This record gives sequence, structure tokens and C-alpha cells, in this order.
Amino acid sequence: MKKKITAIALAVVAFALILTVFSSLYVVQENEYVCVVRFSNIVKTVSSAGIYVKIPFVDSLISFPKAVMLYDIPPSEVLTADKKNMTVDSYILWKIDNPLLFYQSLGTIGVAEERLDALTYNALKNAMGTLEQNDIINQDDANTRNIIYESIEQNVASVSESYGINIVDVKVKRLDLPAGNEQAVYNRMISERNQIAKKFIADGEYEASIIRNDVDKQVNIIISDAKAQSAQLVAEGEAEYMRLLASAYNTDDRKEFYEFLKALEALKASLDGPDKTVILGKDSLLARLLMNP
Amino acid sequence: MSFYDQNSPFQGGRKPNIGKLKKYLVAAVVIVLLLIAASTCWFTVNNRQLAVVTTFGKVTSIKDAGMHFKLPFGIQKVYKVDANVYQKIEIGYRTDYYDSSQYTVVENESKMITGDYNIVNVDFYVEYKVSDPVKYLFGSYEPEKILKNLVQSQFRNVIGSTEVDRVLTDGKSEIEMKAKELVKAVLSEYDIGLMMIDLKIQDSEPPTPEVNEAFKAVETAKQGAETAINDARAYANAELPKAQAEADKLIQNAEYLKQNRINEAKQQVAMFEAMYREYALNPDITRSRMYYEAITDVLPGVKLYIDASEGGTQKLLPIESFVDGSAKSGAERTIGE
Repeated sequence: MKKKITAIALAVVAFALILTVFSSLYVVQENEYVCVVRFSNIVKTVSSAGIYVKIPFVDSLISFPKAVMLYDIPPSEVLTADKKNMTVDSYILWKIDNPLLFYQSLGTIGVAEERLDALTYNALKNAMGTLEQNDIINQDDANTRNIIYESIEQNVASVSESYGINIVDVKVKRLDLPAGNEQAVYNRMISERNQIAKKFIADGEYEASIIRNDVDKQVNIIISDAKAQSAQLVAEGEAEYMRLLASAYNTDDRKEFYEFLKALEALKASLDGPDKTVILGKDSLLARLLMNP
Repeated sequence: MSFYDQNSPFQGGRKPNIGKLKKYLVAAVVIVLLLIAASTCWFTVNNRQLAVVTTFGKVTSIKDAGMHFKLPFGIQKVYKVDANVYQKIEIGYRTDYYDSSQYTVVENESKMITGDYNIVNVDFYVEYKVSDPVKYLFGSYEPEKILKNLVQSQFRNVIGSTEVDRVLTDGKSEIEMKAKELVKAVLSEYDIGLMMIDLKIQDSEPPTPEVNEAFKAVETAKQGAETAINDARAYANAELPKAQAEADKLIQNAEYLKQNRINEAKQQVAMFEAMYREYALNPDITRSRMYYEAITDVLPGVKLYIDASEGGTQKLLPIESFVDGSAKSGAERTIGE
């Protein structure tokens, strides 16, 4: 019987011993901070991974995440400086920098997210309030938006510091016109496209008419040039004609004979055809012949 | 239940051997424990993976493919990471898990606003891989989700500063490049053990069928304009040679007229020369002959009057045609008066 009691006592002691050993050791993971709490007071914060010793049964542990956390902030509407509504969907990357401070000021991740949400919304609202819609939606360098986001990040970061939080980044992932505006945008897009289409058609017709007009001009010029050249040729022919004839009648005799020939021709031509009348002077040779045979 | 019912009498019967049984039992437990320990003492890593080993929470080694040993009972833990695999995040669509030719659209991811206030639907994906397994495991809690958010943010930055025509047509590769650049720059700041490899636009289109129609109408108009211009060019191609041909005809004809006129002159000169040669032999006679010949040619069919006026009175004596028989007597009569 005594043996049995001794055995039980031994077992209890062994169990207590094991419990003590386990209770005095703790493991810190790579992605966590572990705070050692002694009588409700954080006495030590361990930030590097490994196995550590604490006072058993007296010290308790609280762990805080050390890695970067993503908080996807629900979309909200903000007003720009020119009083336009925009839907903003942003996210924030943060991590705990100072677990003690974090524990004191916020305590839990949920509370922290709530605070960050409010902070970011405020910073966003303020930043957007100084910007016109054109400052955000434009055809500048895509990186200019990141510069805007950076100012938001700095704003949030400066406040978060006092919570023991480090802000890695704040970025807007969607910056859209509110859903209510979409149909209006679609209508505008359609009218814009229609106008572009009309311009294409008109431009095409304009260009085509330029080509056609140019062709017509060229055709007219070609014909006109050809006519001028033809006239020139005909004139040359006429000149040659005259030169040749003039050179043939180069003496007075020849000239006289030529004139006589021409006179005869003219006479023939003027009296050609029916119903012609000739009035002769009574002294003309022919009249004399007729009157006094 | 029935199993125990059958065995309980049998166990009762073996009561004297209970001490021995205990020993076997202890041995069995020890063996099982050892087996469990042994089985948790090794692990395998395949070619796609890297394994991060922690000892009491601290990263102590990274293992390649093959079989490796570790300390049991949670002293060493193994985290396997698909470090060599190129992974993909789809944004704006999800490929069907069972049938990769099917996909569903996720409109609130794909719908975005361009720099000229147009709304477009753009689907794209990013390809990435784990570049640092330790940072991937312990640097952040949701590295893929962080990457996805970042990519969405930066891609929208780029689309938000690009005009709609470039997004829908020829600006895609530039958009991809810019977005890639921006994501890479920020991702390296985040330092979450991920590396972006590529970003590719799958599809970009106008947001609604009506808007799509309007965009198509622009394309049609563009084609129509091209057609009008081509028609005009065809007109040019047809009309210009025609005009050249006509011009050529005019000029050739003028050449002919010129030559013809010259030839006329030559003919006349030749004729004149010939006549003059004869005429020169006896000019007076020839002249008279030619005159009367001409008169003879002309006078038939001509009404002839002789102006017989003397002093102030005007007398015109009509003479009927010489040739016309019926008129002849009249003429003679007239002459006779």
C-alpha cells in the first residue's frame, strides 16, 4: 500500500515537473511578437523567433502579428474639389511596429482595422477634396496617382505611429464614377462615338472630293494644254502656208497675176448659185458688147 | 458492443496473466510512439517546391527536392512552398475550374474608367512566382491577396491615364508594360517574397452592347471613308489616262491640220507656178482668155442689168439669163428697146 502511495506521489511530482518545464518554455514564431505578461503588466516583448524561458505559472503570454497585414477597406464615396462624386475602393497594408503601444492604445486587430478605416477614409476625403476630377482622371503619367496615394499614406502613417502601427502602403485600387453615373457615361460614350463616326465619314468624303476635284482640274488642264498646243500647231501651219504663198508671189508680175486670179475666183464665188443679179455700167466692155453688137 | 460481450468472459478467464499483458501493452505503446516519432522524422519535397524548416519557430534551413529528416514532436516544422511554379491571378474573369475554355466575367473587377472618361471592361492576368519562400511565409499574411490588390490598383492607374481607343485597340502592350513596371517597383518595396513575371491583357471591350455598337459604327465609318477615298483614286486612275488620250488626239489632229495647210500652200504654189509660167509667155491674151472664160462660167443663171443712167435719171435695163430658153426672148426684147 505504501509502495502504491509512493508511486502515485512520484507520478504527481513527475507530472508537475513536466508541467513546470512546459510552462516555463515558450516558442516565438517568425511572424509574431510575443509579450510576456507578469501580474497584468507587459514586462518583455520578444520579436525574434525561437524558444524562450519564462517564470512558470506566473508569466502569461500575448502574441501579436508581426507580418504585414492587408486590410481591404470597403468602397466609399468621396467628393472631389469640383463637387463630383467618386467611388473609392482602397486597401491598406500595415504591421505592428510596437506591440506594447499597440496593446495599450488599440488592443486588438479588429479595433485597429476600425481605426485605420476611419483614418484612411478621412485622409482620402481630404486628399480628394483638394483635387478636381481632372487631376485624378487624365492622360498624364500613370504614376502621378501613386504620388497622390503617397500623401494619403503619409497622412495615415503619421497618426498610426502613436498606435504602434507602421503603415506599409495605402493604395486606391478602384477610383470610379459612382454606379448611378454609369448610364450617363454610356450615353455620352455613344454620342461621342457617333460624332467620331460622322467625322470619319465627312473626312473621307472631303478627302475623296479633293482627289476628284484634283483629277477634274488635271483633266481640264491636260485638255486645255492640248488645245493650246493644237492651236499653236495650226498657227504654225498657217504661218508656213502664208510664208510659202508670199514667197511664191515675190515679183510685181507674179503679184499682179495672183491678184487677177484671185479676182476671178472671187467673181466666180460671188455669182455662184441661182437668182443672182449683176448690174453693168453702160460703158463696161460687156455692156457695150451687148448694146452695140 | 457484441464484440465486448463475447470477449469479456474470455478476458476474465485470462486474469492470472494480467501482469504479462501489461508488459506487452507498455511495449506496444512504446513501439507505436516510436513509430509515430519515426514517421514524423522525415519529409519529402518535390521539384516544384522548396521547404522551409523552422526549429522552435525560427527558420533554420531551406530544403530542395528530395527526402529530408527533421526533429519530431513539433520541434521542427516544415512549410512547403510551390516556389518554382509560375502562378496566375485572374482579374476581371475566372477560368472555369473544370473546363478551361469556359470563364465567368467578374464585372466589378474588369470595369474601369479611362483617362478620357470612358468606361471599358478589361480582363487581364498576372503571372508571378515565389521569389523568397521565407518572406512569402512570414513576411505577410496574405501575399497573393496583397499582390492582387496592388495589381488592381496599378493597372487602373495605367488605364485611368490612357485614352479609350488605345485601351481597346493598339495600346495594349504599352499598357501591359507600364502596369508591369509600376507593379514591380511597388512589389519590391512590399518585400513579401513574390516576384511578378508577366501581366497580360486578355480582353478589352466597351461596357455594354449599345456602346459596343457605337464603337463598331466608328469602325464601319472608317471603312466607309476608306472606300470613298479608294473610289476617288479609282476615278483618278480612270479619268487621267482618258484625258491624256483625248489630249493626244487633239494634238495629233492639230499636227495633221498644220501639215495639211502646208501642203495646201505647196499645192497652190505649184499650181500658181505652173499657171504663171504659161501666163508669162503672153500675159495680155492669157488674161483676157481667163477673164472671158470666167464670165462664161458665171453668167448663166444670172440676172443682168445695165445701168443706162445719164445725168441724174436712173435707168436700169434688165437682161434675163442667156442660157434659159424661155427667158431669152425677153432678154432680147429688153435689149431691143
